[in-house]
Amino acid sequence: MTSNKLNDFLALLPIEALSRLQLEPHKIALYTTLDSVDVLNTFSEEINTPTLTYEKCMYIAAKHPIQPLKTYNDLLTCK
Amino acid sequence: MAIAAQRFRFLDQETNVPIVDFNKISDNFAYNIPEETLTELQQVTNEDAKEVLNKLQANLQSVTEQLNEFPSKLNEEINNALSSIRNLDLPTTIRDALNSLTDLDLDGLKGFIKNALNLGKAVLCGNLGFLKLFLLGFSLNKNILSGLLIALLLSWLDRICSSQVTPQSRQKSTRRELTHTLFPYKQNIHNDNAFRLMQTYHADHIRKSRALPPPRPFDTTNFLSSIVNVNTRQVRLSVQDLIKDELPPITRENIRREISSSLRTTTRGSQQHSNLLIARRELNRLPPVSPERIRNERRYRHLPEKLGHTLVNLPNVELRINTPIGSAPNPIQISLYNKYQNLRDSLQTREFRPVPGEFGTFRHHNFTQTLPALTPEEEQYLLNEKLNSDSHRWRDLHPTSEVFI
Repeated sequence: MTSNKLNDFLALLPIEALSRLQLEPHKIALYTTLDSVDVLNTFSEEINTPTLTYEKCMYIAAKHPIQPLKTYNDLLTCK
Repeated sequence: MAIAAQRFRFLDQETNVPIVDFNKISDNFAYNIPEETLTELQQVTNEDAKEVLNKLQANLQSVTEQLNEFPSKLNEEINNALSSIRNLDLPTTIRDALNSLTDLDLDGLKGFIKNALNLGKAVLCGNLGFLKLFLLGFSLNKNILSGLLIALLLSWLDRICSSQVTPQSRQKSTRRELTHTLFPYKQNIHNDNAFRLMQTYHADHIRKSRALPPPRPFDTTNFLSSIVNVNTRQVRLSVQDLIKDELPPITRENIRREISSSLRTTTRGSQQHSNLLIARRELNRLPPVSPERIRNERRYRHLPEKLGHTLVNLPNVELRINTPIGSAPNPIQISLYNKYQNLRDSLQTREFRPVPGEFGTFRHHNFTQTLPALTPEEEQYLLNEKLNSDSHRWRDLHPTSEVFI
């Protein structure tokens, strides 16, 4: 369930990221870089809950950004 | 002969006027010295040469004196340049930065580098790019020297500041955060604008809280039955209309599931089947956030900060109703004034003092509880009043300038 707070946060994303945003019951895909500190400050309550929330997913993704695969070597060594 | 080839013969008639202005040459004499003059110059006696040397010696002394006075003159010129820039209508942030520049003790170049920068180094270095971008955005006056001196000053700072920001600190904080810490936010509120600011931000607060309608109850079965027997355009419109409701992901998934099960029961190629297919496609394209919310969030993005800092500073100023000469304030203005006055008095005693100058303190503050309740007439008055709002601006920067930070 999306909260107004999350919707407000999503509304401020760059337009190109907003147009590609995928929000499904068990998945959130954001095509932009997020500042983990900013996400934590904004959603500290939602992140500190025992259940898995969109906000928590966003925070984890911002904390451990996935490096884009550019070469074959990246593909071989990616985790 | 082509005109371009004759330009040195007719320099006084040259159309390129600035050349004449710069070198003070009013005719082409210098380029066509007669032979007699040249022969006279060759016949200069030794005595004449001595006189010339004496004159040169005297001139050199005056040059040395001028060189000794150079640092103080440079200082004066820099101050002149800065004061001419400060006379422009600049945002307070830039004004503060320029004030810190003039406050530096510019006692010669060495003193400038050694002592003066120790004081304001952090402030200046953290905002050097910011300052440069701003100075690029404003047209300086026609005195070229002012522009050159500012450029010189900034290039010095560039060299000195290169050691200031380490790659580690750059990774930790963005330029925006650096600006937050180095230039604490200061609300430009005084006796004359306090009442107007309160009205402006209160009106924006009402607009922001009113902008989004409450979510409507949604029934999947009704929705599907409404789109089955209509034409293609109506299907598209009714699905696009769902954007206002900002359907949660689970509801969307339910609709998709219902559509898939309905597709199995309808005949392929029928109107109902194609309508369902169109509905599914349009649903997948539907953004999760409504355009109203996007517009709202962007327009009032910095409203909590502006309103919060106005409230923090409200007890320090006096409220005044500014009306045109010869006209009395209307009853609604007076009632609003009384409400804000009561709020001001209560804020003096109430604990409404977050960390001053920190931007982002009020991001999630609920102002509905803090601001006074208004009657419908007062609300209507605030909404109809033509007030210049800057709730979309970060500090008082132009949105284009904000992009660069």
